[in-house]
Amino acid sequence: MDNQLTDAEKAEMEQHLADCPECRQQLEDNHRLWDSMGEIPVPAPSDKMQVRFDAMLETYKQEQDNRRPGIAFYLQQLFAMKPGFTWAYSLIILVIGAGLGYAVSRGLNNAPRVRPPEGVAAVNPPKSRETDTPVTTVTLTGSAADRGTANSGSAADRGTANAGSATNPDAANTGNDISEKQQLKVLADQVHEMREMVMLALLENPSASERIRGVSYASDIKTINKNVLDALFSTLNNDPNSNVRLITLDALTRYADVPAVRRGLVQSILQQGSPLVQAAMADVMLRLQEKKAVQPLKELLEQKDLNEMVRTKIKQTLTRLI
Amino acid sequence: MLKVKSGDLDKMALLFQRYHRPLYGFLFHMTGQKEASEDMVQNVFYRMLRSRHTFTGLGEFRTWMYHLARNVLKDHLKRAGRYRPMPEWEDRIAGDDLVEEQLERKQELEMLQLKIESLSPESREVLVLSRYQDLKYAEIAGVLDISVAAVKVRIHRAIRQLRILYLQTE
Repeated sequence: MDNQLTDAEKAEMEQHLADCPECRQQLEDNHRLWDSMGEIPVPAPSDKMQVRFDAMLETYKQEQDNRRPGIAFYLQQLFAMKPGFTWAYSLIILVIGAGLGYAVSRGLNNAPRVRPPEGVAAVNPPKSRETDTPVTTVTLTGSAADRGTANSGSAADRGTANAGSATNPDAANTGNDISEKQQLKVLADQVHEMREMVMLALLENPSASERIRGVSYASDIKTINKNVLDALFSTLNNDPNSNVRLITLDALTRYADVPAVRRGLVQSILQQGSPLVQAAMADVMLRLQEKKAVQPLKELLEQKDLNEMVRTKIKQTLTRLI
Repeated sequence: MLKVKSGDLDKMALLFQRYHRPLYGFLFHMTGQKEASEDMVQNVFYRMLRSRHTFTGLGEFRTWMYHLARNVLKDHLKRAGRYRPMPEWEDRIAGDDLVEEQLERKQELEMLQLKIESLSPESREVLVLSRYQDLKYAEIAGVLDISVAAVKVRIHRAIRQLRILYLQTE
């Protein structure tokens, strides 16, 4: 139907069609169908696709500039060019592994056996060493906090050292509950702190996508503190990538109930140079109904090089805010 | 694409200019979803950038592109799972003030579209690649990783299936 038959095939088909009215009818139907299919229009993609593509390409290029290709990149390129190298590489690794394994096992077999010093039994300690057992338990248990619990627990169970625990085991259990809760709280705090540290570290990362990941960590933090806020505002005002700034604006808007955040957002309006972020800022201010944003938005309107679409948007925002 | 592979990432913009519409057409025909198709086009170009080193230059760029597009589409359908939103065709065959004859034609085309959608994904894909993407049988064979003879069989079956479905409603 779309003329992809060879001349010989075409001739053969025509000969057959001349003798077969049924096939002729089928072919006609097919042609009609094929033509009708071509009449079904497809909607054109929207203009924002181009904008999104440009932003994606720009972000990707920046990431590539910041990243030096490692050995994995060169290996990937090599393997893509010569797929056979993948096998060769695997084989080399296998041989090296086997060689190392052999060498290590030989080395172990040849090493002189360690003999215990004379006078100390190597296998079974004498019964008189039983008194050392609790000490061993403590050492195995680990951290200082754990050690406290282990001590009181083991003492209570044995009913020897601590008279109070021996007479009232319930009291010891309650004490354990409380200390477990405390430990949980300490752990939760530590996780929270770690999350915060990871987030702050990610915000410093040269890769834009890592910084975006950092900002998304911030969205998960329930109680936000000054350090995190400072880092987020610094990203909002200074990050070179407009996508990162947009995501940060979104994250900060979630804490708009905090007066300091609102103040920071209003102050940030005039710091934004990208039309995308400026427009998003106007949207946020409208959503928050923040009257204090009127003045900076007006000042933004006075800038001569302001994008025309942003100008219209800010004007609309101002009429709805005032 | 070879220039992109060797590090000239700006050339990707040219490829986008040239191919984003046909790619969008393919994905839209396969899903009937405007927004999702746009997202998928973006995703395909992102994958092209990330896996540019896998482009050997031995085959056609278009074949490689549709390979990636099919993978993205597969992921999308897997994520969407059983949930299939209504296809967004309703406003495409436009016109409120059509004369009766045109209105009839419009309804016919809408019916044909419905029938194309009701084909199995395998049949629909081969028809879309051949009819709307203007791919030659050999190119389709490259995209689908099957022989040219198998492509011919699939197209023949798909057309027959569609003809039967369409004639039933006429």
